[in-house]
Amino acid sequence: MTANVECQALLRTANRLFRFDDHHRARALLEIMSDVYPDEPQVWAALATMANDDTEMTTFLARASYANRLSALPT
Amino acid sequence: MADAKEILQLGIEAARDGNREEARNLFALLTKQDPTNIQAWLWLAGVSDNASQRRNALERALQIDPQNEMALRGLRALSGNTRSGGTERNRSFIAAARERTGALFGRQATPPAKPSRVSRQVTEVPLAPEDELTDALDTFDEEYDDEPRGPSPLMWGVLGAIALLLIVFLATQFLGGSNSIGNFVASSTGLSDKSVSDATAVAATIESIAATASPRATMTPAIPNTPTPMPAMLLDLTATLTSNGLGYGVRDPLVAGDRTEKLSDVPATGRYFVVVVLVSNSSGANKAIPADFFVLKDDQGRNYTVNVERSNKLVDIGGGRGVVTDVAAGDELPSDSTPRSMALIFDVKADASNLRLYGSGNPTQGWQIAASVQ
Repeated sequence: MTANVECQALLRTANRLFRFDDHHRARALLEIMSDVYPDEPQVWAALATMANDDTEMTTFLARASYANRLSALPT
Repeated sequence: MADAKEILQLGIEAARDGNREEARNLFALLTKQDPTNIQAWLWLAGVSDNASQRRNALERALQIDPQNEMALRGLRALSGNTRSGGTERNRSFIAAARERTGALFGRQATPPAKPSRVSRQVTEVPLAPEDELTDALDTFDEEYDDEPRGPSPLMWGVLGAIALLLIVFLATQFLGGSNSIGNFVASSTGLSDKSVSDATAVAATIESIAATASPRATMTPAIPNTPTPMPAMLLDLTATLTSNGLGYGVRDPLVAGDRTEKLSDVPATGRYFVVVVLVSNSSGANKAIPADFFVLKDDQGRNYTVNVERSNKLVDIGGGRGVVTDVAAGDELPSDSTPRSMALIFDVKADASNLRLYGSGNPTQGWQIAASVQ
């Protein structure tokens, strides 16, 4: 739960960077987050918004979808 | 690694701006990604909000570099810290930190010539303006005093009493009761007859001055006959809304910029903009999201509706439903309350700014998506 709180806070930081047109650091932050929180769909979805091309975006969205399905599984 | 340095710098900036929680999250992220990132551990120690976390961070730094002088001194300061003597010890720790950052940024440290290993290691990574790390440690040192922060309970009490009196004063003015202030003072404070009499006289004087200064009628706020539209409220990106059994929300930050390469068979009049939303259906009957359910608005006063054909095209390009997103725009949603991702494409004017997304029938609650389409 704590990790999730931290993840949400970091997503807000990435979002703020994105809104202030600091796309480079927003993406850098999200890439590190995807290492640390690979099962967090929001991280992949956010990365998809900053993809450099369609192939990359498709990959990120696929990861988001996969992580979303994982999170929907009963624990 | 370049990314890690940038995020370390971002954390340092957050610490410098006083946003310690954000800095803590960023440094903690770096230590999770690379547990041997000694700079991240040291900075994490600098912005930790308690001694236990700080000790842990310094110990981890020492595991990486057992000779790390800053970590050693920090731990010494921590182990000797007590309420009575902690501040003095922390000052020595901070002096050591300053000495180290002097070497870090090429300044002549006092006394000079610290062990070559330390200065070599630090000069390799000039990460922040001088003294910022020690500033972070200064802040931590102040917190070591364990003094309570913010207004004292007495101050809160005084502020509360003032607020209560102000509210009652305004209420009595609106109700227009004679000598109402004095009555309130008498009833609420239990003053003697003379005091009550004095208070009543003062109240009467105040009321007469008020009556002279402006007619009592002006105390009644003028209510315009025309209804004022409710201002739009922007929601946190994690918030979800419901309309007619359809739940919807935005995945943060979820804006894809210009993605026209694969959609160029039908060029956008402006720029294609992708927003991925989460939708769910708990209405009791299977149904599709209407094409005009989502509206994107800009500061230029324009409204954009979803281009269903382009949205479906994007899903097809990506490999179909369940790959890029769970469903496509216009798909029928089963009534099982399960959130499903859906990519929406809007054809947005290139000069659009401050884009907000709204759901059907709720123009007062939406999400800010992007400052521009650039």
